Amino acid sequence: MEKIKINNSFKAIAIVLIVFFSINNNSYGQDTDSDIYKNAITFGLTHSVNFTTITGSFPTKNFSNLESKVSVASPRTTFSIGMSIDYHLNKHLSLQLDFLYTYIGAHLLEKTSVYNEIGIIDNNIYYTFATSYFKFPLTLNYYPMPLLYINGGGYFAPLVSNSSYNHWYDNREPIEDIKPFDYGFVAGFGLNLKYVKIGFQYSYGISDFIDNESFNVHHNIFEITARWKFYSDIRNRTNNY
Amino acid sequence: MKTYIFLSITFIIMISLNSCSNKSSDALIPENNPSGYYTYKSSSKYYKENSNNEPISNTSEGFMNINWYQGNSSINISINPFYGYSYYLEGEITETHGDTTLFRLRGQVVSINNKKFTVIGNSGVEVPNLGRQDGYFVQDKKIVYSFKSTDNKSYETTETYTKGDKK
Repeated sequence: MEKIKINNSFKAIAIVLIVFFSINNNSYGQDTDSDIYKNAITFGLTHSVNFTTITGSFPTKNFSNLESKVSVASPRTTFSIGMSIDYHLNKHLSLQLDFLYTYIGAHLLEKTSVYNEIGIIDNNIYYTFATSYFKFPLTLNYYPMPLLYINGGGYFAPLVSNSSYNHWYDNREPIEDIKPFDYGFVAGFGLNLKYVKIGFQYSYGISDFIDNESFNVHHNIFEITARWKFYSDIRNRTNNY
Repeated sequence: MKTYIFLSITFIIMISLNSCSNKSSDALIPENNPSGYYTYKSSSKYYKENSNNEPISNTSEGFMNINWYQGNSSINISINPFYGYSYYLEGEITETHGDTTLFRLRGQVVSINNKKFTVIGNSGVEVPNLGRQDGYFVQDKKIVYSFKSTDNKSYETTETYTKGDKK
């Protein structure tokens, strides 16, 4: 089942790439302004503030007189940092690949109700799922005008570290059965300025990131990103004109 | 002569003290010590007074230890459910009838996990030929008791009926 999902993702990425290159080939010679943009590369530092959460369902415990349910209490505010490369196909399209180190996760609440003979006793335990990944989002950026971009694509993310810990006690433990890879899709929009691209990006993990049938959990990430243009062919070419 | 009088008075005092002591223990000291280890099953009903919601019912199992203190006829029941929180109840023996000993549960506040519950016996046990009681035990066999508890904050009420078998 997992293999089929991965195959479908690769197929989708392949189709997207073929479409990009077709568009790129078609655009040669049609757009005279594209000389500035054709095969232009931009790269630089990228960083973001992330509001990360988890969607899906967690296992519930249900004994004769004890019920326990886990839910997301609040998003986790984290950051990502890395490098970003933009390869321009033409004036309106570019392929963007990020190399990121990203912290994600969520704050969780385990609510336990014990039906004691004396009465119902509720107990709330707050804890955090904290994970970090190397994340490689590949997106197609569309520039309807030089100042604006919208993008969409997919990401692949190998796991770097993971832990589950309580807010009040120093009891860091690894998350059981976490998968070594995560993948999903990304989409966003933003402003394309001369030295920086500032935007909003959303990521959703298609992969259920815990390899246990009683879990069905997916990463859900909202990011405010800044992609600094340390080097830009477009900027250099514009200056030379 | 003085010595005879002194001995007679001492004798009379000893006999009267002894008879008083026998009178009280005849009524309150069980034939066998109920102290010991029991397993239990209980059923509880959870509801809120004056609420339209249907009561929730649940059952529980575990083990309990009973300690009987002869000096003041009191019993302490330490209850340990298989799932959940342990607690203990205090009661006092009220009557003995053959191998059956009746007891009542004192009004008491039980604290579990920072929650406080007011617990009191609710005469919810029907004892053959002896009417409704908070609880009773049969020597070396079983204990049965019933109580009502109220959450001191939410005023949610629980009624529990427990049967334990001595091991």
